[in-house]
Amino acid sequence: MSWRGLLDGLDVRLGWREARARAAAELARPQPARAGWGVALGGAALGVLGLEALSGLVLAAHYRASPESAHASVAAIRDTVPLGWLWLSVHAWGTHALVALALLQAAKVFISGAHKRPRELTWVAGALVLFAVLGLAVTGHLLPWTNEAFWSTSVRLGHVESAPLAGPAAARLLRGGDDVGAATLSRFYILHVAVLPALLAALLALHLRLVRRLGLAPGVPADEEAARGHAACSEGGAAWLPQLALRAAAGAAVAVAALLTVAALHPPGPAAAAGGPTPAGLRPEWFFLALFQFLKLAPARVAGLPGESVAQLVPLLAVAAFALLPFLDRSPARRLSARKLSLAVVAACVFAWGALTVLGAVSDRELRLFGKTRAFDTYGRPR
Amino acid sequence: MDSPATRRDFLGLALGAWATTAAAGAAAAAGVSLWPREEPPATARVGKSALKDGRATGSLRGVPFVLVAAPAGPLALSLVCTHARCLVKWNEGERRYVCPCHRGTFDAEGRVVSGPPPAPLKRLAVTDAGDAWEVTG
Ligand code: HEM
Ligand code: FES
Repeated sequence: MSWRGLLDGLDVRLGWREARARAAAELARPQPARAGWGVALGGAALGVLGLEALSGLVLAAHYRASPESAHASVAAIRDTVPLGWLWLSVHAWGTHALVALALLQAAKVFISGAHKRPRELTWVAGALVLFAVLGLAVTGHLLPWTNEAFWSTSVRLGHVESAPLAGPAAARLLRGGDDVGAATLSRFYILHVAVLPALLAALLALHLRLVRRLGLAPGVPADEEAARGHAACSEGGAAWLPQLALRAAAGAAVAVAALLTVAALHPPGPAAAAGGPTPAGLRPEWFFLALFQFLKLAPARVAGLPGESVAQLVPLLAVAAFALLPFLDRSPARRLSARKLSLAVVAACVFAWGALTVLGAVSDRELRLFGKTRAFDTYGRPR
Repeated sequence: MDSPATRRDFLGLALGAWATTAAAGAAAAAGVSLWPREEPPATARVGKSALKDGRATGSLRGVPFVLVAAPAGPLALSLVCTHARCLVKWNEGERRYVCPCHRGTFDAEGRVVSGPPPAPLKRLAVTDAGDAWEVTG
């Protein structure tokens, strides 16, 4: 059978030509002129995600998920597998890059007003993608079974246990018992390599499907876009194929090159295996520092209830508000100058988050700043 | 005669109901198997000669505790902080158990003195077994 005949035969069975024609038509539609290079950010996140999947696959082929073998198998990847140190480093740095890119993506979208009607679900799906990435960061952190990872997981699950309502049940289910141990490692492993990646893939497929179907957001207000139609708001703009896709690919190339450079220059070193006492100065990743610092402020009891459970309502509500932002921030305006109130509210939240992050980073530490050694207490106040 | 549309609707509804029930049943069965079992209480022996300055540490199912021979009788406390489960450490100078994670402190009897912990350190049952103490929890 000829090549053509094979493709024809597959088309009869799969109907791929029709599906491809529909996708091509969507990708050939002009996008609003302002789309510009913004798409490079989404492309960068996609590129880093691809590298995470590939490095994860290589690592999983050598990793052994049990308290007896996990630490040694990671040491073997680092020290004996060809290029193993680089895959480990890429995978670890990639997590930080992915969280940073997702947060930047959210910031870009908010500033351009692209989360408004009809792209609310695109935002919600994007936020859920970010939550899946954070879940991957938390579950992946335990896998090397270092003492630091053991205790930070113990603390994280301790906080989950204090969460209102479902907290104790969720913590017990995740831990697989009363304390972090072999059952926790198995559960985190299966979450990290199967459950969360599948969830992430499904959410990302939805996210990208919506981006393609709805087109990029124009600069005009949402009600005007609804009245005139997306095509009328996009006259003269470039299409996804080939211009915008090339820009997204350029973003991916730059991000992957930067990630490889950082990973090669700063590979992870050896760390003590689990089994020791709680290390002093335990501190989460930068993206959880604000949460870490906020929860320290909780008194033991609030109005007769456990203080931590009450305090957790604040971050829980903030996270829900983030995921559902398009339904809270409902004005049709897209230009920032016409959105002063929502801009002020979001700016205040971002400022609080940033301030707590800085306090969390310096708390219980002695740092040399501007040529002077300064000590900070638990609350981040200079001593 | 039934109108075909009604019959079709009914069968569609029945299929949906069956699929929902089956999915809920399967999820419940998986949940039963995923839910961790209660662990039976364990017992650890601490030889009386092992006490230094009236204190000794041991562990139950891998989780450390301290045993203190106070004049009023022996006291065994779990060293797991009641805030978020870090291990507390006895500080002889301050006479406090201090948690390295968020600076929770507890007094010699395990009562909260400061910081975020919501409850005292867990007390474990101690029985006298002649030349050793038996700690159960
Ligand atoms: C790993 C995480 C993510 C990936 C891989 C990703 C991927 C993409 C891509 C490729 C695009 C199209 C190009 C662009 O506008 O940049 C896009 C658009 C979009 N993303 Fe994401 N995204 C991620 C996270 C997020 C997050 C956290 C949010 C918000 C909470 C979000 C909301 C949106 C919205 C609303 C659009 C449409 C923008 C427009 O119409 O102008 N995304 N995303
Ligand atoms: S875990 Fe002990 S104070 Fe938080």
